[in-house]
Amino acid sequence: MPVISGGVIPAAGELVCEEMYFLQAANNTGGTYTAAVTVPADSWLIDIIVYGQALWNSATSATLKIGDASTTDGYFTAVDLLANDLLADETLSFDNPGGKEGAYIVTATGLRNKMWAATERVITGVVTEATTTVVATGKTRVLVVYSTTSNAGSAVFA
Amino acid sequence: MPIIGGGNAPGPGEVICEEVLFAGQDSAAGGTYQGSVTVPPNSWLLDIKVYGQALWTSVTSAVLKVGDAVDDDGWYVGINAKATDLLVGEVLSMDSPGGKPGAYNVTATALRKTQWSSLERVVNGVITEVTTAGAVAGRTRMLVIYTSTSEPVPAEFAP
Repeated sequence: MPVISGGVIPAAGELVCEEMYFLQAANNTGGTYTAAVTVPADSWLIDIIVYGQALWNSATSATLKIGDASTTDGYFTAVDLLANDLLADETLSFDNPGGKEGAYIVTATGLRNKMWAATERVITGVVTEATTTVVATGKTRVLVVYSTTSNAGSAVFA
Repeated sequence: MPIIGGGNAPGPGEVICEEVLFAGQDSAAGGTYQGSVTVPPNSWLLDIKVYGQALWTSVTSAVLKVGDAVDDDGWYVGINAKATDLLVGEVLSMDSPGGKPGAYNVTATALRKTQWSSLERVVNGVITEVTTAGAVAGRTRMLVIYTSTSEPVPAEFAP
């Protein structure tokens, strides 16, 4: 039935995803790799999945954190990309953070924070590397899954 | 703004799903039911859900496994579709595999495997049934959720 004017007709939204890719740079003396995904206002953050495509071979360390402007490691903290925390072909996610969850992921209670926001959010991933080798091998991928902006209709009050 | 040529302008990808229905057939000797979903290269496998729509009435057994070409029960193994493991209205998923995870879903460490790949993958479900009853009721559904192909730009490196 057509709507002549006015009225809020909320339609089904979509789940979308964007990916960050951390590729180790060869023959450097250390530094940071930064990538970000902007999640629009009035949308739901569904999941952030981290995939170890290939182990990093930095001489000293390579550590990943993921967060937002409020807490830079709110979702995942201190993920060792050299070994242990995320081996090749393994993944971390909100449901399975592998012990590397940040403050937003409260595994003890099962209650998560920051899954919805009225404002735009920038999800930022940072790998901090301390010295590397001549031939770099590290590859880590991060997928951010979120909903499109929602104009939810208000529940009926009786 | 249109892009005339060149450049990499990655935008949001899509989350896609495809479903396979395993519907029991009246065959006294039994056999296998096979259904698959092809996940494209450079994409993420987000979940595989298995839903028990109707219990199987096979006389002896009806067992489901889900995997790929490398490990044919890598995602789920030994699901009794007749009873116990997946009753009517119940669902298994990667997060809640109901004690039936395969080797890719390492619940002890909470670290999963093969969720991303540069290669095309065929997620394959197989129900092996041994002898059926006259009245066939079994129905099991499998939903595969994955992302569209992604070619992200590498993160910016700052020495």
